[in-house]
Amino acid sequence: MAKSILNNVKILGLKTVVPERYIDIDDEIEFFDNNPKKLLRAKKMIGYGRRYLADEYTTVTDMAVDAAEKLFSEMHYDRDKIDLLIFVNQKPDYMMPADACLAHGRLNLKKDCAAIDIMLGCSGYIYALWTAMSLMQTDTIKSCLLLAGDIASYKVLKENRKAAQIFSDAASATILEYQKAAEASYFVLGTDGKGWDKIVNPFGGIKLPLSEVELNSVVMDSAQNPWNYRHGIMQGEDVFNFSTEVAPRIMNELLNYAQIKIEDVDYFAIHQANKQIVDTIIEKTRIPSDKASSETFSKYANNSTNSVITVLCDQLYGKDVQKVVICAFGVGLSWGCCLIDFKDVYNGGISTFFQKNKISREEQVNYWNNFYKGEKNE
Amino acid sequence: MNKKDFLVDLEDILQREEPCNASDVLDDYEEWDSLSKMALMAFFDKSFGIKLSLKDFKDLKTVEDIIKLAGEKIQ
Repeated sequence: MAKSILNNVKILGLKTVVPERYIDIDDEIEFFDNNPKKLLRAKKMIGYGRRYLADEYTTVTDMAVDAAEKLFSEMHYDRDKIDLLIFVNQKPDYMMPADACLAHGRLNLKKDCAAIDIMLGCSGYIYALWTAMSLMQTDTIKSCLLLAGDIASYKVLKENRKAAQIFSDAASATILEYQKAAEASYFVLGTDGKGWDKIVNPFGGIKLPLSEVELNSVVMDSAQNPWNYRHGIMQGEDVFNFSTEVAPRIMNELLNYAQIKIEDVDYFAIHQANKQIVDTIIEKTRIPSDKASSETFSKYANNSTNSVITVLCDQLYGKDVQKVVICAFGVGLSWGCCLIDFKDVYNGGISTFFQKNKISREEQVNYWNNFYKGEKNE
Repeated sequence: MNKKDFLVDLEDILQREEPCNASDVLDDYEEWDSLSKMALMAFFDKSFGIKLSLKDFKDLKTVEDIIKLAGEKIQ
């Protein structure tokens, strides 16, 4: 049974960052046959709005490190306290080493600190919270920095109208501490690995490395959407059915497990797959409309790993709430749901990430050329 | 749910500005696209507990055919 009740750990604060560049769906009317009615209809049905896109120089580590720096400074948090760094994301900077190690170095954390990556997408934050809280059950690990994020827009071609207007980039930092008096957190987790190819990025790993041919290929689907092998692909109908089935079921399981009712929960942060999916889940679970919403999708689109954190930072910013349910599901297929105590959590909201370090691909390749040759780089 | 109410709901599901009639041919609707089919799947699921797949829409010709998919749930 993948259920846990975890005591003694409290979330102290969290913060999300998004890239400075964004696209509004209203500026893309050419993809709706220049017909305002068609555009409006798509906005109403799927919730298209604004999406934030990282530039070619930016990785998920760049953004998550920025979120952590901002959080430390806003909370006046002493980074030397951190004993554990967990980084959850789906698109690492390098094949090796782990992003957690990169971030550890960039953030100047102490060496007496464990650092691990968790490779998951939409469901990832629940798994990362669960891992962190489990590892903090004894008071030997007192402080944890949890980084999360994804460059979900990576290599999606703008003309691909099945994927382009759905995905958007974001990353975040969360600080957790061991506290004896902390309220218990409840978790329900699950996996269906038979659905591994429902959301899949087949190329670029060890199984199918990208060759020159695939790098430059574009495949058109039956609806004339261009696909690049560097981007993942999703079986839309199956994912829709999976999401609207699993999310209501696990939220009900969680409420039963924690022995509380919907009325006792202050807010439900649901993974913003798209407006249609989120609204269906809210209605099927019978959550009152003031306790959950798909509004964040229209403001920030689908942030993959960061999606539920974007909801917390967007919808609960400046609000005084206590019991919060977080529900996330997606690539894997993997899902998770948790009930956490959000009282007095520092909510840093959503800030803009500015890429100050624009190092071109050429410069990077030069650097590594010298590195392989054994020559010193400046 | 009665047929009349469903036809009103259908207008909203498809985001159509004109009224829907049972005899309407679906292919004549500009709105009969994948967005609408997903929206219908969601509606059938949450309102009737009926799980549809895109295959179920393949042979549909008229609005009446959609109503038949609901069986006894639409009277």
